[in-house]
Parts: sequence; structure tokens; C-alpha cells
Amino acid sequence: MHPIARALCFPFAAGLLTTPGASAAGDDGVEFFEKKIRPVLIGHCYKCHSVEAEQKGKLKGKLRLDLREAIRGRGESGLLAVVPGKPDESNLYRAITYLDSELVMPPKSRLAKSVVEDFKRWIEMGAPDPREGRLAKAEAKGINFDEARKFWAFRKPSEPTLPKVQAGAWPREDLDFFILAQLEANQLRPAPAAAKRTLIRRATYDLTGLPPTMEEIADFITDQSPDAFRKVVDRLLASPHYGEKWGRHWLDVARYADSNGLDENLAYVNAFRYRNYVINAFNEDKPYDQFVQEQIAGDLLKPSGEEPETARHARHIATGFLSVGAKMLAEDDGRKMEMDIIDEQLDTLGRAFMGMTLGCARCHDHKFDPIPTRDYYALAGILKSTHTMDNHKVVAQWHEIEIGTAELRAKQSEIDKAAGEQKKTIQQFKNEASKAVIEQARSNAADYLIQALIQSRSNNRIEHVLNQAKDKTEDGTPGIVLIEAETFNRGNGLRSNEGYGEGIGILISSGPTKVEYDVTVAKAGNYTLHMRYAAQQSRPGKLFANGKLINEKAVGSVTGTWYPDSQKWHLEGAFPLNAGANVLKFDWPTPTPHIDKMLFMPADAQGSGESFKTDHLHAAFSRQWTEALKQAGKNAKSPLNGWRAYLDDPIKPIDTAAIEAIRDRFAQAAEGDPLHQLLHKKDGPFKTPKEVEKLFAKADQDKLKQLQAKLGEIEKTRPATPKAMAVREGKVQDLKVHLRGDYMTQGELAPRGYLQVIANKNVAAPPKDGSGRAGFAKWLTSDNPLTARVMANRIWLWHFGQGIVRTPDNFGTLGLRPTHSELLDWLALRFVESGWSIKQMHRIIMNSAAYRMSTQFSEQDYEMDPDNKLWWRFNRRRLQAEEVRDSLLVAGDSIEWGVKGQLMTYNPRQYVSQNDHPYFFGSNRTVYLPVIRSGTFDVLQAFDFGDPAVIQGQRTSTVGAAQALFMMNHDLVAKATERLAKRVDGNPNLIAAAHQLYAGVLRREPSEREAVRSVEFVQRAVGQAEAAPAKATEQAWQSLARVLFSSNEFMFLD
Amino acid sequence: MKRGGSICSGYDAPPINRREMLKNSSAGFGALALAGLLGEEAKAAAPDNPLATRQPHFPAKAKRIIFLFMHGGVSQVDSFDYRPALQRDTGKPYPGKKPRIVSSATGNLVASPYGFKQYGQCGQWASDIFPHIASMSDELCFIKSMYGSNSRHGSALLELHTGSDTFIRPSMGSWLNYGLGFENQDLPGYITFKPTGTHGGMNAWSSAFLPAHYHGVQIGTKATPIDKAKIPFIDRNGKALSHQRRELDLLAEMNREHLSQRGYDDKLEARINSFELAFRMQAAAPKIQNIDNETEATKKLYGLDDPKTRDFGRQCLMARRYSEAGVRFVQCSQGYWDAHSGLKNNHRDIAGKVDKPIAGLIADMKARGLLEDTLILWGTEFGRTPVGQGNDGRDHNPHAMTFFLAGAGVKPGIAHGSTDDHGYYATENRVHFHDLQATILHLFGLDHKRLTYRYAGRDFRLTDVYGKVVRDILT
Repeated sequence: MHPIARALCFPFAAGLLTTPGASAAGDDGVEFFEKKIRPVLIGHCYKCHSVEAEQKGKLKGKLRLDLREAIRGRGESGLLAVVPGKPDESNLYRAITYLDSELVMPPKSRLAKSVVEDFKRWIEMGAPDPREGRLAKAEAKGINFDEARKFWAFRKPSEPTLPKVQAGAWPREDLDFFILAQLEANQLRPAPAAAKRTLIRRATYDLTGLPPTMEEIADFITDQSPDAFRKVVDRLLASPHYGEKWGRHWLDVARYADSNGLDENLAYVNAFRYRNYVINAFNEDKPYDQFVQEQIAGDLLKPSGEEPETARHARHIATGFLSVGAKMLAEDDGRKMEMDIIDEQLDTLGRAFMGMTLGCARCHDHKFDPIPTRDYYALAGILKSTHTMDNHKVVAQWHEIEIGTAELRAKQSEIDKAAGEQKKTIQQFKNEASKAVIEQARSNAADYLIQALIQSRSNNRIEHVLNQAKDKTEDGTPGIVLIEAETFNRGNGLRSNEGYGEGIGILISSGPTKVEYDVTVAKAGNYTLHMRYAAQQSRPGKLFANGKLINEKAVGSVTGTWYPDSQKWHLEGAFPLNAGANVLKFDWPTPTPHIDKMLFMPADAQGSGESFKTDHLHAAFSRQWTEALKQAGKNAKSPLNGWRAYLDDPIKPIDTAAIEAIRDRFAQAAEGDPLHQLLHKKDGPFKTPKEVEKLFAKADQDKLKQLQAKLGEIEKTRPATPKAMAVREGKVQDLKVHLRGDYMTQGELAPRGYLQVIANKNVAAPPKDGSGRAGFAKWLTSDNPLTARVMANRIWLWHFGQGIVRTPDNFGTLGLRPTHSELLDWLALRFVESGWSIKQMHRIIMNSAAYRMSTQFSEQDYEMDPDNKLWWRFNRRRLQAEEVRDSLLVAGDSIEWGVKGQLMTYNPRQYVSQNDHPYFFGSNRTVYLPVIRSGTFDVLQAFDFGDPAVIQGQRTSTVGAAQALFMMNHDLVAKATERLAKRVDGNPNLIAAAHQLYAGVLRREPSEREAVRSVEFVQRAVGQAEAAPAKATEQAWQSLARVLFSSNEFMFLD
Repeated sequence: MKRGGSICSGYDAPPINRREMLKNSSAGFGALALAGLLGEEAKAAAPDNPLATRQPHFPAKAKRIIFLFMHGGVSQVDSFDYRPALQRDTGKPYPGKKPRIVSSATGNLVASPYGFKQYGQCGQWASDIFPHIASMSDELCFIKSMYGSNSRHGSALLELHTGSDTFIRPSMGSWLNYGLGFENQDLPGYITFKPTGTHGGMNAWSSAFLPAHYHGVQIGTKATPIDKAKIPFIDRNGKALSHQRRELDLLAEMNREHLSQRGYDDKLEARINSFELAFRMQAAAPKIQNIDNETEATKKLYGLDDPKTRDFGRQCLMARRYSEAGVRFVQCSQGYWDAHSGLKNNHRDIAGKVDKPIAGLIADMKARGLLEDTLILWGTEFGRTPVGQGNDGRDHNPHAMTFFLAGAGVKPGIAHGSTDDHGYYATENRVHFHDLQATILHLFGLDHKRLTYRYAGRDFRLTDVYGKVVRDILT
């Protein structure tokens, strides 16, 4: 800008400053509004923020901008859109500046900068606005709960009367009347009863996930008693494999996994305790109401009487239900993370126990079910007051509890005691051995001081000499030669002034290097060579003086970095130089360190040539002496001060005479002498050094090692305290409703509580001093119309393949209605009546005629009811993933029974990898294999195990090419068939061998035709094989086994 | 377009008369009466073949897509979003407000360490590390105003692939196949090469609650050499083909006997057919994997002759081959652009791996006429901050990033939207992930608001309650 221009514009600017902003726009600013603001509002804002938008239902953020009253009011965010005079407090202004990524308006594109400026100016003017008019008071749209409670799922189950039926002989259980009545009403006929062989296969897979043995089948077929099947059911219910199958059903609901999945896939190494708790709960037939309560609030339940500590732990472990969900553990917004985790818990809780999609009410009142956001945040408050996470940082940590028993603690303290004693022994031994070391060192006290003096002044000396050299005139130079390293006379070194040698110039190089220097000295004699360099790695080179090797590993020290800030002086050697010219040569096999300078000092001259042997001194004490000398400078009374002259004048020679004088002084120091006192002081230069053990005599060192090894052995036997994923009570607090689910915009307070639609006056509201989980659990299991119905429906579904409500996780408006609502109520009532016994439900259901029907097809019935909603036959089903793998292992006779702990070898919270799953090839039952989220084993993936990150009340059951390829080519099938083939191969009776194979895979004898066909298949395969005959037969049997495993007969249950 | 949770599967089964009869009658009067009795809406009960090709909502421009995913977060201001003000103001504080939620502390503005030039008729700017892609600028449609919601890899990656940064949702490829079925019944409809197992892993190609047929098929992991990466279980492990054929013949015989004893069951039938499909797939896939019949010139075009570009080049070549064979969604992945420090080397090195292969892919697709109905998408989970992190890095920045598209239905040689002067925030014509997803569905003839799936009591969409088609970039 030219001076003139500045002069011209200055008064103009001053004028602006002295005039109120409004005057620039004339009158009261309305004109400014009309010209600059209103058109923009109409053009860019009214589409979503005006009365028209409101009428069309398109009003956004509950904010209108088309009235003065509205634009100065608050929208949904709760913030004022325009605060006259204060643009910084005006939310509208904040939005249009586009500087806050969370609030940008207009949403698609930023307004022109000049327009944004206009708004600022307008608000500064006081936001003049002629737009009169009043806002209509918005009507609160509430939920009519009385009306809502009439919905079938919210009505209490009522005892139905058994319907009348025509075929009175068919029902075996009361429940059959409900089925039959509807079939008859629709002119459908129930399928005939299933054959015994079919029934026992169905029941055995159904209750244990395993095939029946040939013996079990034979026993059942020969048992002609009327309660033969009941006996089978009771036997299966008593089997430990029952919990392994039915516990797994529940684990689907609990979205159980052994890793977090989602963004940070960390190992849940302690989740298995929850899994085993569930398996055990089913085996024990834990009453379902108690099972529910424990999973929500097990830590808060009181024992009913005396109980072992493990019982209390088990209840606490049950709360792992709340913890094992998938979480975004790396979320920069910690508050969002917390609310997302709570949301996941609520969503799971709601669907698992009530079939309610609570998650839908996070951002707005549920659109279909009577759940206002207020209820969502009332429940969320309970979980907010629960401690699930230890923190919400990146990467966040979930909470774990310790579950050691008294027995374990006793064992631990016993070991701690033994270890403590051993430590004491070690300390005593160390004290004695140290004493000897110190005594010995003290006898060399004078030499330690001498060494400390020499070392302490070594760097000073060089600086001192260099300073002196600078001060001296040319002819006065005391024989000192200083050479810049980059000024070598010959060789392939490089000079650097930048980067590594910024501003100073250094020698560097890029490969093997040789350099020579011509060094001229006036006098012949011994010289010391000091060099100043920086090195991040050791790069030693050979040093020659006049052709003679002086130092094999010169300039080999590491100083820290390659940069000048770490340059240090190092003594590289002492050697004779001739008067006049000398040649100094360096030879590196590598690039050079970064060398700055070289300094020669006459060894016999003042200030150099201190030759003093230090072999008998220990570095540890030397360091302490250097430190002591430093401290002495701060203490006028120190007996060492007499020798400080050597430090003050670093070139004052420490020659033989000086050395002798010091030694004499020390020899004379008797008790009472301050010097003697110093040498014996506890924290003096002869205090016990940290690394004193290294100075012990060899025998003492060995002894110490022995003692320490013994300590290690003792400590190794200390059992670790086991941990479990679980929650505990947190800081009790109520939440406000988060508008649109965003914690930045909060509405009314939602005191902790339960769903309003299910009023239960017997359950107290959450207390002030507790999260409210206990109350919530009680509210769920006492007089709640949903809980028993939802579980009864699940049990039915897991037996029949479909529920009475075919959306088992959704009993809301968008879920399906029960096909047999009276039956569902009947089941729910029996369930509660039985003391919430799941095993009792199995007995009732499996005894029914409905369960015992065959899968027989009927054209007439199919035409009427293709989806079998009325249960005119039993549903055929494909084996589930676990059943496929377990059956292969059983058939191959390689399954390893027994309850398993954690099979993963990961450390707690370690990242799991998708690709290293050795467990897959183990032979444990599939339920014990770790469930790696986002990396489920291929057999699970292929057979619809589903996504373990979400609740799954009903698995899908597909068939497809991936499964076919699995059966054709997977190693698991190859191994099982190989084992079967090996067992069969060698049987000279090929027909008998075929029988063996059929029994192994399909659990039946082949027909004669099948046996002959099998043998022919094997013979043909052998005939065409390329392998050697012996191998070829085995391969042929293996091939046949693979066909049997691949068959629909194996893969489907009738 | 609502498909219930039908889980039944049928592959092109030979028509069975009775089955046809039953199918036709299953939605007949009897079933309707029953539905009335149960108080349900009448629904057509006959299950769709989930793999059958389906009609889109409206005529489609794109039939297939190749998604080139750059894992780790490519810096927009060091690639295609040239910001002269940033180059000028290096060392000064950012004049605007930094985001409320950030992943790390950052300092002042830092200029890009690379030079920028203009390319092509369209004059698109690009940094020196992408010379080959830049030379294709006249084919490309840049979106310089992309933005997402989350500043962490896992969340951002999932949002880009599934539309949600918080929950498990089906991925884009799963939605497309759910909406349109498979084009080639002998191959999967959704393939992902060497995806990262971290930051959500499988969730990025998961069908989640959609039927499992639409789950992405993973070919290799990040660590698998690309020529060793195969479809799972496709390898016969040394079993002779004739041998396997014999097994399948016996199996079919047994299964047919089994079926005839049981009457009609579409699932049993479907499973019989699935073995034939598997057998065909076993023949088809290796043919695509085998690149012997590609010319040397083609291999060179993709950079297969250079160790640096060989891996990603082969991913791109495989992508073309599978896409050509009708695989609807193919994804290639390359990491790891996460330059919190050492950005200059990091971006130069990784760009060097992908630049030539991507340009080669686009040129090859164009030459073969495949770009007509194939969409190519290049993108990343977030951009990076124009302000520095440490000495020589940049932090995550979901508020601005650059994507490009090419091919079916998008305008070539344009740049849509822009960022502020320093490239921190998308400001003009902003395009959120949801908007991009809506646009991609649109190109495939699908209305993102109508492509829904009912789950857990709600009709879910890829775009949740968001998304607006970016019409400005459509031809």
C-alpha cells in the first residue's frame, strides 16, 4: 500500500468507527434486513424453517426463522438462534460460519463469505426485524398408555380353557388341544407320529446337539413301555451335554463372544466364565426368573442362606451378560462412546427379556410401540449408574472383577509369606557381601579421588586449552594443534555444512572412507589426540600415525544422535609425533561418524599427560566419587575442598608428586578426621552402589543366584487371581432426555425407572443409593406380561424351529402376532407355575403329540398352510453349525469331552488376529471354541452361526454353494472321513465295512441295495485310482464317507 | 422393495411340476383365508430365489462396481485437493475453529511437501505422487467435499462400508446383491480382495442381518500374496476332478432317493443343486484367477512387471476379471495411509504402489468398453488435517476428504464440491458417506429409501434416515 493511499483511507476508516453500525444501513436497520437478510432467509432457510415447512411436516430442528419471535427463540438444540447484538452467542451465526463441523447451515453449501458478514453485522446491529406474528404453542403429543396396554403382548397371560376337539385320541398333553383345535378348524390333519428312529435322532440332537449312538437307538426301539420316550428325554436332560446345547441357544440371545469385534478386536479372555455360567445354569435347571435377575443384577442379590463364596461369584459373573457386547472402543468422543455402550446394553436387554426394541426410542418416541424417549433415558440412567467400563478413553477398558476364593487367598498369602522370608534371607546375604566389597574399595579411597579429579576436569581441560590457544599469539602457541575435521588433505570424505553439521562444517561420508591429515608440530614428543564428533551408531575406524597403527577402534563411541547437539570430545590415543610434518590416517570400513574437530596436545606439556592406572577401581564407586566431588563444591566444610584447585585450574598437573600427596593424606586419615568420616558416611562416596551385586566375588554371585532362583520358584507357585467380565454399581445419576440421541442437546430430566406401559406397583422405583438394576430385574420377573411369554416362545422355537410368535426378539407392533395366542399364554403360565423350570417345559413339550409328529409332507395341508403355521407336521431342519462339527468329530471318534475354560492363548485385552486360530483344529465341543467376532471360524460362518455381535433369537438356516464346497474340500471333513476310512479299511468283508460306515455316519444299517451300491462305488474308485492299491482302498472308503456326510440324510433332521 | 426374512434358498433347480403347482397355489385362497385367521397381512409365501437377478426400481446405469479402498486415511491436501492458501500459510495457526472432537493434538498449518500440477482438458489439480491417475483426470469425477462422522479408523471405516459408525449393519456390497441378485450364478456376487482384518474386519463386508448369501467372500487376507489368494474351500486339495464327480454322482443319487421318500421340500432340492453349483464354481473361479492368457502389454499396464506395483496391480487385474464375469461388487484394498508422522515418505510410497495399477485399470476397463456399465470408486475412511501433528504428520480428519468415481453414469472430467481455503472442512456441495451411498444405489437403479429390510422391528436402509442422491455428478 502506498503511503498516500494509507493517508486517504485512514479518515474513512475512522469515520466508520465513530458511527454506530446501524447508521451504515440507514434508519433502524430494517432496510438492511430487507435488502441483505430476508432474501437469504427465504432462499436458503425457509424450505426447512418456516410455517410452510411445518405444515408439510418438513420443519427441521423444531426451529422456524420466518418470524421475529421465532428467530430469536430456541429450536430443538435449546440454544437461541439469534441473540441481538451478540453474534458469538447466536446459534444461527455459528451454523452459517461453517466453523463447527457439528452444526453447519445451510447443510449442503456454505453461504458466500460476504453474506455471512452481513449476518454478523445485522446481529451486531441488534437484529432489526419487522416480521410480526406469534408462534402457536406446540401441542404435546403423548402416548395413551391405557390404550397401549390393550395390545396383546402387554395384557397379562390369562388361563385359557382347553378347546374342544374332534380327534380326542390325538392329544397327549394339554397343549395339543390348542394345536389340534386350530388344525381342525381349518380342515387340516396332523401328520402321523414319527418313527422311533426318527424321534430319538430328533430328540438327541434337540437336547444335546449330538447324534444318538447305535445302542441308544436300539434300546429305545426295543423298549416297548409306554413311557419309553419320557425315559429318553429324562436321560438326555440329565446329560451334561444338555447344557452345552441349550446354553448355546441362550448365548445366541446374549450375543456372547470371546472378543470385542467392532473397531478394536481385543480378546475377552475372561468372557468364558459367563459362557460356562450359562451352560451350568441350564444343566442345573436354574429357575429362569433367577437366571434373569442374576444376569442383570447378580452382584446385588442377597444370598438366601449360607453359601460358598463361589456362589456369590457365579451371580456376579452372570452380569457379564451386560459386558460381553461389541463396543466401539476407539471413539474420540468419550461421552458418545458411553451412551453407545449403554444403548447396546439396553437394546439387548429389551429384546432378550421382553421382545421390545428399546433402541428405537433413543432419538425419538418409539414410532410403533408405547415407549417414549423418557422411558429409554429412565432405563439408560440405570445403566449410566452402573459401572461397565473402567474408562471411555481410546482404547477403552471394560471392567473386570476378581473372583479369588478364601482357599486361593490362603494359598497366596502362604506363598507370599515364604517369598517374604526368602527375600529377607537374600537381603541379609547381600548386606554382608556388600560390606566386603565396600571395605575393599575403601582401601583405594585416594585413587578414587584422583580418578574423580582427572575425570571431572577432562572436558574442561580441552575447553581451557582451546581458550588459551585462542588468547595466545601465534608464536606463543604451546604446541597445541587444532584441526577442523572436514579439512583433510587427502581421501574420499565429504564436507557437510547443512543438516548434520548446520553452521559448523563437519566430516561425513557415504561409504567406506579413508582420509589423511598432514599435521605439523614444532617439537617432537608424545601427544594426545582428542576428537569431537556426533554418532548415533558406533562407526569405529583405524587410526594410523606415520604409518603406525595407533588405535584399532578410534572414534567408535555413540553420542546419541548424528546432530551437532550431541557432539562430544573423546580421547583417541597418545603417541609420538615428529618435529615438522607428520601424516595422520583414518580408515573406516563404513561411513564416518560426524566429526567436527581434532585436537593435539603435547603429552608432556602442562595440562596433559596425566597417566594414572585405574584397573583396580570399580566404575560404580568412581561414579559416586565424581558425584561426591561435585557435591563438595556446594559444601564449604567438605574435606575434599582442599583438592578443588585441580578443578578450578584444569591444567594444573596431577603428576606423580601430586598423586603421592593425596595418597599420603588419605593414609593419615584416622578416626575423627572429617576425611575418615566422609569415607564411612552412609550416603558418602562409599555408599552401597545399586549394582553392587556385580562387584561380588564369583562365589558370592553364584550363591546369590541360587537364593534368587529359589525365590523365583516360590513365586511361580503363586496362583493368579482369576478375573471375570462383570459390572458393578457406579455413580448413581439420572439422565436427561437426549434430543435426537445427541448428548449435546438435552431435554427434560428422566428419573431412573422402568417402562411405563408395564405398571407394577409392587416394585419400588430405583433408589437414591443404587443404580436400580436390582429393581429392574425384579420388575422384569414379577408380574411382567412379557418375560415369561418371551422365554416360553423361545423354548418352543428352539424345539420346533419356529416360534408361536415368529419374531422371537420382537413382541411389539411390528413383530408378528402369535399364531396360537392361547397356547402361548398356557405355556407362559405353566412356565411360571413350574417355578420357571426350563427342563419342565422340555418335558411337557416333548411329551406332546405335536412334538412327536413326523415331518411327512401332505399336498393338501401344504396347499392350505405352506409355512406350517398351524403345526400340521413337524418342521424338518438342517443341522446347526455346532452340530455339523460335533457330529464330524463324533463320527471320526476324535471328540474330546468335558467342560473347557479359555482355549485362546491371548493375553488379556490383546488384539486377536483373524488368521491364527489353532483351536479350530482341536477336538473340543464347538460350544467351547472361542467365538472371535469378525473372525468366526469358517465352519461356523459357513453354517449360519450368525453374527455374534447381535442378539439372535433364531438362527437363519441357509443352504448354498459355500456349504457344499465345505463338505467337498474342508480339512475337518477330510480328517473325520480319513479316521472313519482307516477304521473300516482292512475289513475283508466289504459289505460289513459298508455297514460300519453307515452306522458311523448315518447311525443306521444300510439296506441291501445301499450296501451293494457302496461296495461297487468303492471297487470302482479303487479300480480307477492312481494311488497305490493299499492307499487307494482307504481313499475309496474315505470318498464314500464324504458322500454320506454330504448327504441330506446326514445334514437334515426329520 | 421389501423382502421378508425368507431364508430359503433355491438355485436354478430344474422345474418340478408339482412344485410349480404348489408354488402357484400357495398364495391362493386357502392360504389367504388362513392369513386372515391369524390376523396377519397376506404375503406371497413363495420364497424368492435369493440369488436370482432382480429388476431394479428404475433403469440402472451401473451393473457392477469396483471399489478401490485406501485404508488408513489419504490426505486430501496432499493428493487431489490443491489448496494454495495452505501452501502459502504454512506455519501459521488455522484461522477457523478446529473440531470439538479430535483424535490427537495438532499444531499449525503445514503445507503439502509435494508439488501440484494441473492435468487434462479439465485442468484437475493433482500432487506429484499420483502422476498416472492424474493423467486419467478427464475420465474421472472427483468429489472434493466428502465428509464422514467419525475420527477413528474403525468407526469411519464401518461408516463408509455399512453406513453406521456405531452398530453392526450390512455392508454396501451386501445391500447391492440383496437388491439386485447375482449376475453370474456360478460365482459369488460380492468379493473383497485382501481386506484389513483390523478396524472392524469382517464387519466391513458382512451381510449382518441380511441373508448370508449376500455376505462378502473374502479372497486372501492383508498378508496373503495376491497370487495365492483364493475363494475359501475352492481348492480340491489334490483330489482328482473325476473322483469328485463320482462322489457327487453317488451323492445326487442318494439325495434324490431321500427326497422322493419325503415328497416335496424346496430346501432339500436346493441343497442337491448347491453341490452342482459348487462343482461349477470350482471350475469357474480358477479360470478367472489364472491370468496366463492376459497379454504382456496388459500385465504391464497394471504394473505386474514391477515389484512395487505387482500386488495391487494384480488385485486390480483380478477385479477387472471378476467384474467382467459378472461379480457385482469387487473391492480391492491398500493400506496403510495413516501418516501421523513421516507423511512425505508414507504417502509417496503407498501412492507409488497404487497409482499405476489404478490408472491401468481405468484405461483397460475403458478400452474394453466395461466402463459403460461398471462403476469405479476410489476412497478412504477419512482425510487428514491441514494442520500438522508432530514434526511431519497429519491427524485424522473426517470433515474433508477427496473421492473419485469413474464409469457408469457419472460425469467424467469434473470436480464436485470443495473445501475451505485450507482444506480442513468440506464447505461447498458437501457429500456425506450417506449421500455417496444413496448415489451409488441410484446408479444401480435402486432408490435408497425403498431398499429396505425388516429386522428387529424396523425397516433398515443402507442410508439409515439420511442420504441424498448427488445429482450434479450424474450423466
